[in-house]
Parts: sequence; C-alpha cells; structure tokens
Amino acid sequence: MYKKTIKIVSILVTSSLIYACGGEQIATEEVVATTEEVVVEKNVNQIDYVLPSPLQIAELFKRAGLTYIGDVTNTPEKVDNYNTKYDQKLNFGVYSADMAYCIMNNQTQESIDYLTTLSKLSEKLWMTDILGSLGLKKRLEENLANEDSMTYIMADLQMQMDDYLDDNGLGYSGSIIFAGAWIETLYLGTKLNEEERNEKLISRLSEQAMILQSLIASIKQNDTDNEYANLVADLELLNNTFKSSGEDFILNDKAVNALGEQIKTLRTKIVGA
Amino acid sequence: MNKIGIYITFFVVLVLATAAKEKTDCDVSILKSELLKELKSDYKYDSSTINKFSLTAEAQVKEVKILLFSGEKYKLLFNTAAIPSNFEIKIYDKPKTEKNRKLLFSIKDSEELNDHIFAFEPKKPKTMYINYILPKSDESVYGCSVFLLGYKPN
Repeated sequence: MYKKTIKIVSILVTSSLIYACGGEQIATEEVVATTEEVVVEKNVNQIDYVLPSPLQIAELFKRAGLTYIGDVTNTPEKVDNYNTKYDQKLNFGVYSADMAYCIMNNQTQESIDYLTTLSKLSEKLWMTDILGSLGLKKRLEENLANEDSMTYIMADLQMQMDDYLDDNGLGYSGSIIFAGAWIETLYLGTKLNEEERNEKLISRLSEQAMILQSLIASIKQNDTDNEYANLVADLELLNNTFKSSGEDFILNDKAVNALGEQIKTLRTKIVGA
Repeated sequence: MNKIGIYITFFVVLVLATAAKEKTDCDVSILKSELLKELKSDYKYDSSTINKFSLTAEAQVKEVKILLFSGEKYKLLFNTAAIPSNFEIKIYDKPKTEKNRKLLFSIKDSEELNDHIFAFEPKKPKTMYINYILPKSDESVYGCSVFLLGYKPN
C-alpha cells in the first residue's frame, strides 16, 4: 500500500513538473519569437524612447490657449488619396490629432467624421478596423456632450492602439503615427500663434524640442532600410530651428516664425495640397 | 500516507509548479491591466512599453528615455511580476553614458503598491532615464516587465 502511494505521488509530481516545464517552454518560445523586436543590451549605449501621447500634447496646448479655428484641420475627404503605407501611417497620426483637437473644442460632428476616417485608414493599414471593434464610435456618440469623458475615450483609443501595435510587432509604426500627430498639433499651435501671439503657447511649443530629439532618434534607430530618410531630414531642419534659439530652446520671435513656415511646408508634404 | 496526504502533496506541487511557470510567463495584457487599475480615476493613460529580455552570462542594463512636461503630474508604474529575481529598476536624471547623474527612484527602496507593482510620482517632471538592471545568469531565464505612464489632467 505504501509503495503504491509513493508511486501515485511520484506520477503526480512528475506530471506537475512536466506541466511546469511545458509552461516555461511556451514562455521561452514566445520570447524567442519576438527576439528581433527585443533590444537586449548588446549595444550598451542604445536607448529606447517612450513618446508621449498626442492627446497629452493637445491637452497641454489647449490649456495654453489653443482655441478652435475652423477649416485648418485636414479634410476627411482626402483619406482616399493616401495609398501608400508611408502616407497612411503619417496621416493616421494627422487625423488622430485633428480628432483630439475637435473633441477638446466640442466639435461633435467633426469628431465623429474623423473617427470614421480613422476607421477607414485602419482598414487600409492593418486590414482591420481597430477603432470600430472597440465600440469607440458608440461610446463617442453617447458622450458627445461631455468633453471630459471624450478625452478619456481618446486615451482608451491610444491604449488600444499601443496594445495592437505591440501585440503585432508593429511598435515602430507607433513612432511614425506619432510623427504625423505631432506635426499636425504643432501646425495648429503655430497657426493660432500666427493669428494671435500667445506667450504660453510659445512656451509649450519651445518644450517640443525635447520631443523632437527623441522622435528623430526613435525613427532613425528602426529605419534600417531608410524608408523614412526624407522625413528624418525634414525633422532635422526643425531641430536646427529649435537649436538656433539657444541651449534652453526657448523660441524667439524669429525662430517661432521660421518654425511655423517649416511646419506648414512639412505638413503639406504629408497631407497633400 | 493516506488519500488526504496525496491530495495535499499534489496541491502543493501544483501551486509550486504554477508559481514557477508564472515567473517567466509574460502575459502582457494581464500585466498591463493590473497597472491600469493603479491609475485609478484621477490619472489618464498616456503610454506604455513592454521590455522583454533574456538573462545572459553578463549583467545587462537596458535604458529607456521618457519625456515629462514641467508643471504636470505623472504616475510611473512598473509591473515586475514576470522579471527574474535579483533585478533592479532605477530612474536617473541623465543617461548612463554621463557621470554625476542623480538617482531619482529605485524599486529596491520603494514599497510595492500591490503585488509586484511599483509606482513613482515625480515632484519635478522632466526628461528621465529608466534603467532596467538585469543580473548575469548561466541558465536560460526569460522575462518581461511592463511600464505604464499616466498623467493627471488639470
């Protein structure tokens, strides 16, 4: 009886250990499968970059006085013009920034239109409507009157996008989408400042120098086939303008004007005339 | 040994085996959802990163740069449930290539918010550098950690 019990316990122990080892093996395989996207400290000086959400930048600009100006955002009708992955990723960012801008300024119909546009672009880019599958349109429609709820929904959208890109090994696309959103938000900021000088907004614009440096480094780090070399070159021009304002990057009048012109030119390249 | 003994043995072994499995399991969605709960209603999601790694014969330091705007309130959250033991996460004001950098946060000097979750709320937000310090190992050990950044809308 005693021997039999030991045998049963041994079988149970062995089975459990096999289960445990099997579990570890699955985890190992999962990690191995994603080895290429994992940067393990081979190059000791390599840094990874966490870029802020376009929504946070838009909220900072809004609090600094970025009010709504009609007809400055990119029109949803242009979405059919974007047929390369390059254009689609950048304009996904542009439209995201436009949607955030409309949401924060209670432009309800425009917000819904941009959401529909982003859904279309999502299908073009990834063969799936990430936004639609999250029920975002319904949530937006139900919370249209509440700007606060809307910004939380936007934050959810950002999180779901991050999850989707991470799950599918597309983290690098996040930097390109961010570039589009960042350029559009700066365009809106410089455009408003052009119409009415705003010191708080200039201060927030000046802070963007640190974002730009990380953005450039993040794109360059992953752009092994130089697909985004032109975009990087344009961003480097902006960086030079920030640098021209001195070490503290506080933009003077000349630099603000130059930045506004450069942003306008770059934005036109992205969204089309 | 009676039947109860067998059941207890089986239960203990199963718990230990499951614990061993979880140590190296990187279920990002679970790890991230645990962090999201810690944002609570006063902080809004901003961004997140997943760091997957394997230990090697040499110790490693992986660096991540984060950008925080002045005058804002942030919560930096780390889920370390799937990191091997003897790891460390530190936050500095300068990159590891520079001397005289100031240590702003270390999980070893912090209390866990919840199971394997650590939080840092910087008083003076600015550019910061997260260092994931991984010990050397002769065995194949894999793991991951999730970082999530929340900001407080004013």
